[in-house]
Amino acid sequence: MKPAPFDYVRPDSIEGAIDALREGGPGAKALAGGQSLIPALNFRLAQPSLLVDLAGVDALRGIRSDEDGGLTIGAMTRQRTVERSDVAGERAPLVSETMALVAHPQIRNRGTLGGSLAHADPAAELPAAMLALDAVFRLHGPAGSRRVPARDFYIGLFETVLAPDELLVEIEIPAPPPGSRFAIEEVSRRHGDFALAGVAIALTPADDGSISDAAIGLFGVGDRPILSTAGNAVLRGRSLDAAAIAEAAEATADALDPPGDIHASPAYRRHLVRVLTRRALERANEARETRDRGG
Amino acid sequence: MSRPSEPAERASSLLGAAPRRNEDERLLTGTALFVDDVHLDGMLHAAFVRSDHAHGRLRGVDLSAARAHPGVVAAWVAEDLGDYWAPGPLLVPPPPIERLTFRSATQVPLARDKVRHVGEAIALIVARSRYEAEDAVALVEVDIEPLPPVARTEDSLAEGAGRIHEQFDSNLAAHVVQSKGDYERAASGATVRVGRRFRIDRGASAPIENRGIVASWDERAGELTVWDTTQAPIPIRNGLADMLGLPETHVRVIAPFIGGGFGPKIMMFYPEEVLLPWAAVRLGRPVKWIEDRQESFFATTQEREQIHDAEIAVDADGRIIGVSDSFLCDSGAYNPYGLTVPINSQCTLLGQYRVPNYESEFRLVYTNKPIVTPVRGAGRQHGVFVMERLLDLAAAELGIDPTEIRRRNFLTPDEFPHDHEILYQDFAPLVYDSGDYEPALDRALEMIDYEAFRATEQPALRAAGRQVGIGVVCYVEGTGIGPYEGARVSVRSDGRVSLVTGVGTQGQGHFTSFAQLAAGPLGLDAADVDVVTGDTAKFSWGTGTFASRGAVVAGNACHAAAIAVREKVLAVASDALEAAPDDLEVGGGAVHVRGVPERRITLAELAVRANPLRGAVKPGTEPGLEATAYFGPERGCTASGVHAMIVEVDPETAMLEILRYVVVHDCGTIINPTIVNGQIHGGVAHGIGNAFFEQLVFDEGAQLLNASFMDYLLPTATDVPFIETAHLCTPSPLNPLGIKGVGEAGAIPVAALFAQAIEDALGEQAPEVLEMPLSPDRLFALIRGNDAATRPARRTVP
Amino acid sequence: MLIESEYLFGADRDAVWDALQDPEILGRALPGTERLERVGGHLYAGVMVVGVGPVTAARFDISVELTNLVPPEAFTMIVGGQGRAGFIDGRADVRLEERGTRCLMRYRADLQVGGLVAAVGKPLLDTVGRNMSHKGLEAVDRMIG
Repeated sequence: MKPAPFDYVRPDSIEGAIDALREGGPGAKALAGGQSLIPALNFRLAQPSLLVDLAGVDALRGIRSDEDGGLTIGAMTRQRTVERSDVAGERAPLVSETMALVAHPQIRNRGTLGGSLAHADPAAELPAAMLALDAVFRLHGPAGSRRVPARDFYIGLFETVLAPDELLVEIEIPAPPPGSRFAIEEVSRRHGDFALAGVAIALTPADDGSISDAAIGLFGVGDRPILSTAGNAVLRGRSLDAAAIAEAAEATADALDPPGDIHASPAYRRHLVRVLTRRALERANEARETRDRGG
Repeated sequence: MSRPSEPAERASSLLGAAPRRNEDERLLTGTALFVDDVHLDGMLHAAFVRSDHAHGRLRGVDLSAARAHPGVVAAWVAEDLGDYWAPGPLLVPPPPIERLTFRSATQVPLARDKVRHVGEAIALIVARSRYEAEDAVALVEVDIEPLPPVARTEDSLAEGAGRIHEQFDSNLAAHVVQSKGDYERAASGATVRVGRRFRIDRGASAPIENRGIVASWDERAGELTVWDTTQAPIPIRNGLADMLGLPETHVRVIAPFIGGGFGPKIMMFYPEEVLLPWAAVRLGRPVKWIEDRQESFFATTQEREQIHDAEIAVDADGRIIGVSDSFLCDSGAYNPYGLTVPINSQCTLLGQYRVPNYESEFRLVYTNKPIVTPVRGAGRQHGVFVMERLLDLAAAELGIDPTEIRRRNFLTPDEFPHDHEILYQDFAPLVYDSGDYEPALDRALEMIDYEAFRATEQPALRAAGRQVGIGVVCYVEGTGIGPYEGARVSVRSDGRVSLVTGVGTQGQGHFTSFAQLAAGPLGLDAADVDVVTGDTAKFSWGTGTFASRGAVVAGNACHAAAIAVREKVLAVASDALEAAPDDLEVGGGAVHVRGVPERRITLAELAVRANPLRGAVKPGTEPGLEATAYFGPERGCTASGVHAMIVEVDPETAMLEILRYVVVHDCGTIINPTIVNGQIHGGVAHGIGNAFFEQLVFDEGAQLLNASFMDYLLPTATDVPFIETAHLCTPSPLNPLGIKGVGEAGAIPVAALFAQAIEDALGEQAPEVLEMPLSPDRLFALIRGNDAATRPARRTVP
Repeated sequence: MLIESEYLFGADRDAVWDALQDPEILGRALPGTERLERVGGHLYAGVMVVGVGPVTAARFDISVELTNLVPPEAFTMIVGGQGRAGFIDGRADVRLEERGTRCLMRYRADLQVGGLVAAVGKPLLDTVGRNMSHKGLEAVDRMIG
C-alpha cells in the first residue's frame, strides 16, 4: 500500500493551481484534505502523475458573512473549522449539525468542505445538505469564474460538472427565509461511517404556517446526492401534521431505486429513507414548536 | 510467634495486586521496539506478487520487467527455491479418535502449479525500498488459467465441486465422530426434542499491528537473526534451523513488542516466515517485510464459517437428556492446524452442563478461501452459540425461564473432576478440573437486576413503545494446555531481578503479571523485575503464547523459578548472617534474621557473594542466584463465566444499543485484576465485532469483497459499552497457583448473548436468530421475515 | 454480479445488429474501452480503463468474443480483462427483438471481478456496472442514429 511515483507541487494562488492542473494534463489531480485521495493513491487505484496540493492557497480558506445574511465558505476551509465557527452555526445551522456526522474529528481536522463536496461521494452528508440549502458553488478555471447551483453540480457517481482544470473555490449558502427549520438524520453502521441512508431537510414556512418549500436532500441511496421532489410535492401548501409527514416520507421513499451492497439491500435503504424522512420532519417540527413556545 | 508462611503463600503476596504496568512507559512513550522499528544497514524490502484468482492453474510468471526495474535486487518464483520449497508442517496432527478421516494439505511458500485462494503468494520481489518493490510487483505478468472456485462451505462436498487438492478425491479435509452414551435411544424418551440449523461466521483477527519480519544473516558468524511478529518464537527458531540446515544455537528469533496476536500470529510457518530468512541468507543483506492491511486480509489466517444441524432432547423439567450435532467447518485452502478449531467447537458446546448423551460429527472441508486457524476463541464461539441457542429453544418449548433451564443443568461442585468422555484439542480427555457455576449465574443476575428488569422495567419500557431485551448466557473455556513453558529468574548484583521466559507477548501485560509472580517469593515489587520475553537467545525452550495458556503455564514456571531462587538466596544469606534459613525473612530487597532487622544483607550483596571472583564454587552448588524452572500441566484447566446484557433494538432501523453489559468470570486465581479486566474487555469488544460488525464477505467467485477497514467494520469506542465485571475464584487443582486462562474468554459467548437478547427485545414478533454475525441489514430482513432461507426448519432426525 | 436489463434503440434491428459487428461501435457498448480491435473472426482485443471517483487507475487488457451468433436475433458476448488491479470475467446473453421500427435489446450479464478491484472497489463497481451498461448503449444508439 505504497503509492506509485508522482510529482508534487504546492502553489500559493488559485491561478497557480489552475495553471499547474492545466500543465499537468489528464494525469494531474488536485489534493485538498486528502481524506479520500490519499487512500486511493495507497491502494494504487489512483495513479496521478502530478498532485497539486491546494493547502498553500490562502485565498481558498475562510468563512465570510455576506451582507444579505448568507454565508460564503472557502473550499479549502477545514471541516473542523466550519464545525466550530460561530457564524456558520448561526447562519447555516444545518451545516454545523451535519459536520458532527462527517467521519471523526481527526478526519475533519484534515478534511475540507470543498474537498468533500467536489469528491461527490453519493453517501457523504455534506453534498446532500448543500442540495437542501440550495447552496451555490463558485468554480474557477482558465476561462474565469462561474457559479453553479449545488443542485446542478452533481451529475453521476463521483461525477460533477467540474472540468479537470477547474477548481471549486467557494461555497455560498443563501440566507434562510425567516422561520426556516432544518434537520439531518442518518443511519450509518458505526458513528462516523458513510451513511447507509440519510436525509437532510430544509423547511421554508409560508406566512400562514404551512410549508411553502420542503427541500429534502438524500444521501447514500443513489449514484449521487438526490434532491427529492416527491416529498416536497406532498408537503407544499400543507401544515406539517402527522399525516402529512407520513405521506411525505412514503412518497420520498417510493420515488427511489436505491442500490444494494454488502451493507444494505435496496429494500432496507428504501425503508430507511421512509423512517429517516419522517424522523427528520418530526424533529424539524419539534424545533419549531420549541422555538414558538420559547417565544 | 507464628512461623513464616509457606513459600506458595509468600508467592501469593502479590497475587491479586494491580501495580502500574511495567511495559506502559515504553509503550506510551513510543520507545518500545516493534518489528517495523528494526532498521539495519543495507536493509532491503520485500513485497509479494499475490493471486487475484481464488482457484486456478498457474501457467507462468514473467519476472523480466520486474527484475529490470530500478531498485530491484531480486525476484523469485517457486521454482527458484529449489529444494527449499516444501509445504509447511502440519502443526497439530489429529488426536487418536477412532473412525477418523484426515487428509492433510498445508500451505506452500510460493504457489507452484496451482493457486488456491486469493492473495496466495506467487512471487517474491526484493528491492531497495518497499515503494520500488511494489512498483515491480505491478510489472509482473502472471498467467493463471481459472478453475471453478469453491466459495461456499456447503458447496465444497457437492458432486462436481472443483477439487482444490487433486491428490484427494474430494474437498473433505477431515471427518470426525465423537460420542458418549446413546443419543438416539435416550432422546426417544424426551419430552422435547428441538433442533435447528445454525450458521456461525467469524472474521479476521485484525490486530492493530499486521505481521512483519526482518531477517539478517551474519556470514562470518554463521548466525541468522530474525525479528518476527510471531506468538511462538521458539518453534519458529527450531523450524528455521531445520529448514536452513543451521544449528539451533545459530538462529535467533526475536518476537519483540507485538501489537496484538489473537491466534493468527502463531501460524508457523507462514510463507513470508520461510522466505525472508532464505532471502537474507541468499542475498547476504538484511531483508524486511511488513504486511500491509490489504495483504493482511488474505495472507493472514482467519476464522470462518461453521454450519451446524443440532438438536437437544430434554425431559419435562428441562433437564438435558442429550445433544446431537452434525456440522461443516470451513478450513480454507489449506489446513495447518489439523482439527483444533472444530474439536474446540465440539468440546466447548457442552458448556457448564451435564450432558449424558452426546453425538457429535463434523466434516472439515477445503474451500478456495484464505486459511482458517484459531482466532481468539478458536471455534469455541461456534459451540457455545449452538448449545445456548438450543437451551433457549428448549426453555421456550417448556415455558420456563432461560436462566432456569441453565441452572437446572449445571454441573455441581461435587461432580468435579468431570469427564465428558470425549477427546479435547490437546489429545487429553475432556475433563473439567473444577468449577462452581451457580454462584456465577446468581451474581450475574444480581448485577444486572434480572428480576426487576423482567418484573417492572421491561413491561414499562414495552408500554412506552421501546423494544428492550435481556440476555444471559454461559460458557466454559478449556485453557492452559501443555506441553510446557519455562522461565529463568536471576538476582543481579544491582539487587534487581531478571526474569526470562520463552513465550512472546502481544499486549497481555506479561511484563507485569510475570514480574509479580517472580517478585512475590523474593519479597520485591513487580517494578523490581526486568522481564524478557520472546527472544530465543535469552531462553531456548518453550512453545508460545496461545490457547489462553501464558499465565497458566509460563506463569507457574516463573513462580517456580522464583521459589527456587529464594532457596538459593536463603542458603547464601544463611552463610553470610550465620543463621539457619528457617530463621530468615526476605523482604524489601534484603534478607534479615527474624526479629533482628539490623542483621541483614541486601539481595545485591548476596548476588555478589554467590558469584565470587576468588575461591571455588562448592561441589553440588551453582554460581549465582539463578534458577530455571519448567511447568507442564497434565491437561488444560476449565475457566467459565456468565455474560448478561440489556439491549435496545430500534425496530425501525434495526440498529442496536447496548444499555448494560455484565461479565461474571471465573479464571481461578487472579494474578492482576487490571490485566484480567483488560483481557475481558478486549474479548467482549472482539465478540461484539463478531456478533454485529465483522464479517468477511466473499462472493460466488471466492473473492473477498471487503478487504479494507472501509468495509470490514471493527467495533469502535462508540460501539463497545461500559463493561461491568465481577470475578469468582475456583482455583485449578492442576497447577500450584490455581490459575486458569482468560485471554479468549471475553469473546466466546457474545454471539449467543446477542441472539438471545435481541429476540427478547423484539418480543412476540421476534424472529429466531440462528445465525451470526448479524448486521442492521440482516436483522431488518429477519424482522421483516421476508427471508425464506432463515425460516426455522425443524430438523428431522433420522 | 448479475445485471439484467433492456434498452430500446432508435434504430431497427438489422441496423443494431450490423453496428455491433463493428469493433469501434462494440467498444462504445463497453464504457471505458479505450481501444478495441478485431484480432480475427468475432474476436476482439483492446484496453479498458474503469475510472470512477477515486478509482482512476484500473486499467485492463481486454478480450471480447461474440459467440452463439443468431443474426440478427441473439448473441453471447464473453469479455475477459486482466490488469494490475485485478481481473474481469463477464458473459452476457443478448437478445434483439423488433419493436415496430425500433429494436429492443434484452441482456443478462454475469460479471465476475477479482483481485484489488473486487476487494476494495466492489461496492463502487456494482453501481458503476448498473449505470455503465446503460450509458454504453446510449452511446451506441447515438452512433447508429
